[in-house]
Amino acid sequence: MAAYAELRCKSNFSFLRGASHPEELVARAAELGLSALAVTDVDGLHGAVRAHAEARRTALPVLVGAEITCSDLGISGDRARPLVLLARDRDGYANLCRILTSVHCGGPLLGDHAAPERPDVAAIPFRTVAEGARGLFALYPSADGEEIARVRDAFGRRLALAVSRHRVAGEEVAIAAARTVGRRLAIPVVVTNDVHTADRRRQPLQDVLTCIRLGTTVDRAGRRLFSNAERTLKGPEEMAQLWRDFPEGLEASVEIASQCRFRLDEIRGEHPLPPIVASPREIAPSSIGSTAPDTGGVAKTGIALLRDLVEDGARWRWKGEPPESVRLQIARELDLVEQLGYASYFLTVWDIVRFARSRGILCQGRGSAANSVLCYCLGITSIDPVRMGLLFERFISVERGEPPDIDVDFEHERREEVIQYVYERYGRAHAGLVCEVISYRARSAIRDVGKALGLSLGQVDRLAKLIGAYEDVAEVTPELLAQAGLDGAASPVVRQTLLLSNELQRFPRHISTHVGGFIITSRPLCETVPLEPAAMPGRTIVQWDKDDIAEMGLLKVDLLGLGMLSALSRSLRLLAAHRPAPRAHHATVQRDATAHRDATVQRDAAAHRDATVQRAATALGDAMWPDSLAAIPAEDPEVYAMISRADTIGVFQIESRAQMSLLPRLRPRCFYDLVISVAIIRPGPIQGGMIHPFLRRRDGLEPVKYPYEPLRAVLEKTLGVPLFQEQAMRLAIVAAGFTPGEADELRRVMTHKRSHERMESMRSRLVAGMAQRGISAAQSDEIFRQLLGFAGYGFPESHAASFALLVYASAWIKRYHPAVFASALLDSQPMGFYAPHTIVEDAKRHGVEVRGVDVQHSSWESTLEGAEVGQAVAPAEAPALRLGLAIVKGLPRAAGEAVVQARQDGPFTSTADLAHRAGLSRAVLARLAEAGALRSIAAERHEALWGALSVTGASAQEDLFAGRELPEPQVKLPVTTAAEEVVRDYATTGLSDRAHPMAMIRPALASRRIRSARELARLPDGARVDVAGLVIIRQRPQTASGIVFVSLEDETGIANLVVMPDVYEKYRVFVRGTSFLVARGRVERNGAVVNVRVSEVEPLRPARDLSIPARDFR
Amino acid sequence: MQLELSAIGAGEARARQVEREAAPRRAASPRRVLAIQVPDVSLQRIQRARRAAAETVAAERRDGRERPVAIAREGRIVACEPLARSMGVRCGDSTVQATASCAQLEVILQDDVADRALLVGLAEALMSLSPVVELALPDTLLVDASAAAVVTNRAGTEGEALLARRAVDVAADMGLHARVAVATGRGPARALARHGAGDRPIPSAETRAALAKLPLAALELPAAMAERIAGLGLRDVGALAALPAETLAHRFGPAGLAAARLASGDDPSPLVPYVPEALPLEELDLEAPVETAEPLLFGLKRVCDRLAARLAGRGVGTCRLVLRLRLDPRGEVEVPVALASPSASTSRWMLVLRERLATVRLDAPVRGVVLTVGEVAAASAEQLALDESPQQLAAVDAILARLAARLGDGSGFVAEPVDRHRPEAAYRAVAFRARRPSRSAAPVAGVAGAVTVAGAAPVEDAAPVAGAAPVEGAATAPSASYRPTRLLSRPRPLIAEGEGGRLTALRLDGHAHRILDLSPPERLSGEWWANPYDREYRRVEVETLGSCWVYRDASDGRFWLHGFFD
Repeated sequence: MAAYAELRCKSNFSFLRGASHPEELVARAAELGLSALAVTDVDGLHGAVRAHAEARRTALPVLVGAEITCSDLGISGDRARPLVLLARDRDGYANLCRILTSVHCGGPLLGDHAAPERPDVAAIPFRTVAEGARGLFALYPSADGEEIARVRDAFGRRLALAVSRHRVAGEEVAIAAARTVGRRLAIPVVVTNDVHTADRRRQPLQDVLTCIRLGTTVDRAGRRLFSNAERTLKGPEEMAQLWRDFPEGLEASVEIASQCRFRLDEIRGEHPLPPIVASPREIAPSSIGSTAPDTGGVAKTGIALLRDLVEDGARWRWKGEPPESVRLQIARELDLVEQLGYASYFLTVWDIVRFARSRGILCQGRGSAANSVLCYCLGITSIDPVRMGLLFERFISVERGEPPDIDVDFEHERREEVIQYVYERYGRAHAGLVCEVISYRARSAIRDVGKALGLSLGQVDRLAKLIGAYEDVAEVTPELLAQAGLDGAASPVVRQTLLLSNELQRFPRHISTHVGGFIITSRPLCETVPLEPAAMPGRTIVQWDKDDIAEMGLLKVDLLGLGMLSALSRSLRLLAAHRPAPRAHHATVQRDATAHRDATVQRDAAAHRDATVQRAATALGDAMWPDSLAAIPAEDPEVYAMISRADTIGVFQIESRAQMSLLPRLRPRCFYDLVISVAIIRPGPIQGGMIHPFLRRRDGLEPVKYPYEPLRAVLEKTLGVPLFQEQAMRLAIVAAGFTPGEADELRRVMTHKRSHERMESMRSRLVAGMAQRGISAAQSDEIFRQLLGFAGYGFPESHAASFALLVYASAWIKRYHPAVFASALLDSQPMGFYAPHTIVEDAKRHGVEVRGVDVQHSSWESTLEGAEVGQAVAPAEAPALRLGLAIVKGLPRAAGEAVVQARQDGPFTSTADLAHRAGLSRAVLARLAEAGALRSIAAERHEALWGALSVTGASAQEDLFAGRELPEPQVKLPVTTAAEEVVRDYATTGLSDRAHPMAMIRPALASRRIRSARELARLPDGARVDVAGLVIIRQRPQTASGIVFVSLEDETGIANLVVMPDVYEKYRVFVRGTSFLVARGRVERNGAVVNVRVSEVEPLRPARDLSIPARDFR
Repeated sequence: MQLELSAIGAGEARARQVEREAAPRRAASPRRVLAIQVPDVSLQRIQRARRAAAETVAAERRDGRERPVAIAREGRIVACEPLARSMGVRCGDSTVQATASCAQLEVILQDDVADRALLVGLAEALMSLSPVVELALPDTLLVDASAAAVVTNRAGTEGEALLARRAVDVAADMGLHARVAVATGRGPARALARHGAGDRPIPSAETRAALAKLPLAALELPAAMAERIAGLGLRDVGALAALPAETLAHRFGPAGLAAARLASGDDPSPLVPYVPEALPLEELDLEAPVETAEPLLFGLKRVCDRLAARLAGRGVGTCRLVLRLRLDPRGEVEVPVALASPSASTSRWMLVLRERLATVRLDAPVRGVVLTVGEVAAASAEQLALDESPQQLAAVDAILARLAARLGDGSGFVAEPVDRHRPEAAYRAVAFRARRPSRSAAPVAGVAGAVTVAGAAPVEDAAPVAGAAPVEGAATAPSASYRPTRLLSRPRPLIAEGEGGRLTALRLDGHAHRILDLSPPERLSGEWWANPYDREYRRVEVETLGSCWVYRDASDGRFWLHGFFD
């Protein structure tokens, strides 16, 4: 019986080299009966964890290794040579990671390094490899005696010469030479197959990948493609047949594999973090606690420090001693944290949050961390989990055997400060960002495969554009191909493009930086996982993504950027800047506001709605100008009334079309309703069919019932319908007798990508548990169905609650300070669902006067002005929104800030004066003029541009005429019409303070009996209607069975279209690609929610000059 | 001077002075130009071709089932038939939008080369009206109309109008619809032809007024400047012409000044005449008919000298000459002469001509010769090495010429390596270029430069093409020793015979040949995207046949003989 171990194998994580996923290679190797498989990707361990995970399933020994290129190993000519390195033990693995880090960063990043830069060539001097040879086994695929001698000097007996038989000309000579040299130098010769595919059938894809990498086409690639498909995984028998003349080579492969005993399991759970040490003075930042804990006057660390911090935080949170239930929960959590050794993890996050708060950076924990009272006490999260009845095991459980995951949101514009703090605090040797693997999707796959097969750029572009961002290649129909001008039925190249694109989907393309996942270790990070410089200067990333990190049980902190926190921070700053009067008694007011909030929480909001609003507006005074999120008056009925009207454009999380359709039916009345609102529009509850039962029960249209009475305690607050992950877990605990840890395992299965199959496997366990409790088969079926619904995706309640805080805060600001809100949103772009023009139109509908960008009044960002142009806001005056220079497309920030700076010396008297004092070039002046930003200097837009073009650029300082207007004849230019003004506004700033484009053509629309969005709201159910507008949103949610939701904006509001799949296919080109649409259909009215079910679509021709991109979502 | 003044009088002097001053202006005044525009030239070209095809097929019926045609460039429709327009297709639509509007629309990509060829044809036809015709791509021709009166025998605008009609007729005779305008200067004429009414010649004094109504696009200003001017709200040429020229010059520099002048109908730029490409010829009438080669070659040498000088002056050479021998008293014999490499050297031509003439048998004496260049080709001058001489190079030509004379034209070529795995596609036949042997390396069999004679066995070389060295991880190039010295132009079928799973003999043309030795296999497969193949090659030592290159086709298991290792 032959035995063979494949020691040289590239997966698709060699990026455009290998043509099989690591999982496929491992599964195929196990199927072929290989003794072991070494996944040796080029320059990285990107696919190692996936291979390892699959290996655990198949029990195949998977060796960890990589193939590098040594820049100076060759003796003559092209000196770069490949070298395969395999980790024999933990030391060898550490050295492998260091070497791979050096390949990408130019050094191993062991000390205090500045941010590394990516070297030009991904090759490494052999000297560096030799220095880290300990614990590594090297395979050298060469027969040059001199080179081999150098490698042997470094690796000694841990070296073998690798030979391959791919049936190519000349290889027998090389094999014979290697065997001769091996005999002469007493170095074993091992057989490998330099595998690139798990199956020969992947050879076409392999060729295409080569072409993509080399930027050529298959018919031009020539001999740069492999000459055959022999670089594929082969079983022991086939290899034995192939190497009948050299069985020792196969035996050597098995022997080497047995020597390389390192498995990634050895680093699983290696998560010691650098210790956080804090002195008493440092421990209590003013923003979190008011008094420092008693630490005995000495610096503390570890669990002792954590206990002190939590104790102090609890007193701060509960304004004294916490209730007994809280103390018990704190003790339980602390004990568990101590048992699992996670104290340093909590301290690390606490330290980061402390830093952010010290810099005035808004931050808030999200996700399952909000289930932990420790996080609440440490100021990481803002939700009291005890009061909310949240399940701690969703966060940490012994059974799970995985570290917790704390996600913290920061203002997205200031997150970089936090990231750099982490690098500075722990050093680049110990901290790195998690990578994100960028994989092929349908469009990118079609583009690259089409180009590789020789389709024209126009053809692939047309085809790719017809496919939605998240659609699958398998969804491409002959009709779609015909629309792209391609003949899919007759053209082989089109068929091949589709087939290969389908295979290429989900292949990794390259790695990028994850949105914020940080991994921090006490031992050098580059001994755990290789590092690379990120594309963004100043950042380093590890070669594993978040799933890999989770698989390896490593601790990760997610430092996420959240646009809404930036907007809220801006809002608070604007409120502080425009307070009617200086705050004399801050502490008193703060206390009053807090007291009011607490009192309001206690009251039945609905009973006191109007009275509370009046009080808020008059008696509170300062409370209407909060200086922190905590100071925002809570449970304001007016805010809920606004939300219930679905007047939520710009409001965090509840501004989507689906949310806006839900809100009038849900009619939120308290904070918990917002928590439900955030959680309910998720794939899990939608696919589980839980929305309508919940709404019907809430409206009293159907009775609240429980499949099993003891579940009342679990499901009562959501009227018997599970909406949160914690409820699903508790349901398993109560109904089937699961332990909390087992329930969390169930939750993980539910959210796993292939959870449906694994859920079925857990069904018997659940059913048995429920049967033991006397639950009938029908009832257990219903419970299981509800659980199965979560297999899609659901929110944890803690996460929804954290987000609901921001929902309320943003809604409150929109309700009472719409100008502030719009200003903050505009300056925090990109964020949210809507483009700036929609935000501005919404602000106008809320009575905000929007003033255009103007060099005499605008700052870089938007600002608030009083009734008088350019004047400060007076008390009791509704502020106007002055747009900032930042919205002028293509205007450099430096130029905009120079304008603001120069204006401090007085208003500009002319365009030339502006150019001279701000040092603006003619091009910048022209840009400002075209955007209408010179309106205070030259009222007429054409004249402004004419004048701007006449000014000699001030950039040439030595020019005697720089910044001067020279005398010249007067000219008469055409006057800009109102419609032209709007078109130019949109073209240069993306919005208009003057009018909506639809208003310009309203008379023409009216003559065609096309209704406005406002008129639509008054039409009866079933009425035939034509509506028109600017497409602002297109959505095609996966949960909607192909239905496309389109939002049309006009000057009166937003019309919601429902485009069924058949209509979409018929009018796909217009629905997907046109800025202005006319839609014909019937009104569908469901309470206050009005949609148009579309039957026909046509582009709105009169608006062809304007092209305003919509926001498209999955 | 005073004397002259007194003699002719001050008034006359002033008149002369005015005349002198006016003279240069008249001389510099722009020409009258006839612009003839072929709208939608691509579309017209295709429609013309289809009409011609339809005429040749009398049975063709276009009974309403015809597909409307549109021309696309970079994914956008640039022209379409009225039928397509009636179905909603618009210029500027993306092709996707257009095909969505009109599913049966036939979208044809714009072919600039073919369009230019069409215009060149029209230009040559228009030369019957004027010797100066300019190609103003993409769709216009500019004809010098200054001599309209001479051509038409009518004066003034009447003559120009007649000229314009004739131009339109010329285009119509070529199956093209055209628009014309006659105006002063290239730019105005072109603008009026493309955008104006095009119904009558525009006198110089009226050019500005005629232009004023046109859209700004008619001036074809640089894109950035056009965008800026549009940003000023100016929509037509008249609005631009109303602006003082100096203000435009101040804002846009020389381009602004030029735009101002053009808008005012002032375009002094000269026409750039189209010069038809012609292959030069030289001829010689002999003083007396000759019957032997020597005097003929003597005269031919003079003809070659003149022709070679003309080519050399253009910086080109030729690899094909056509010699026509005029016989006495009548008759003509044409002798095509192929050269091994492009050349403008008389000595090298003469060697080949001598060789060719030696094979020609004539029925009558020769009274004259005409030597024509059959095809021009780049022939860069080469620096000779110290140990080389033109005679050496010419000697190679002579050998090639002899081979061609004996074996026929096209029988000799050089097999240049092509970067392909498929053996029969791994070379291409190219014209011979003499190469100096490498001084650092010994000559390798099969390098480019060796001659292959068709019908025998082309030397195949699999060395990588320069600049296309195999990359890391890809296949390495097999050296010449792994490829046969003779590759059969068509593989020959073999029948394999074996015992106990071993190949023992190959049967070729009914004769069995014992196998003496087999090399390890080389597997070549690929080109799945076009013409897939999968073969297992072996070098086989065959009794009586020698060392053969044999493959087994993996698709059907059949064996083929593909070459010999001589």
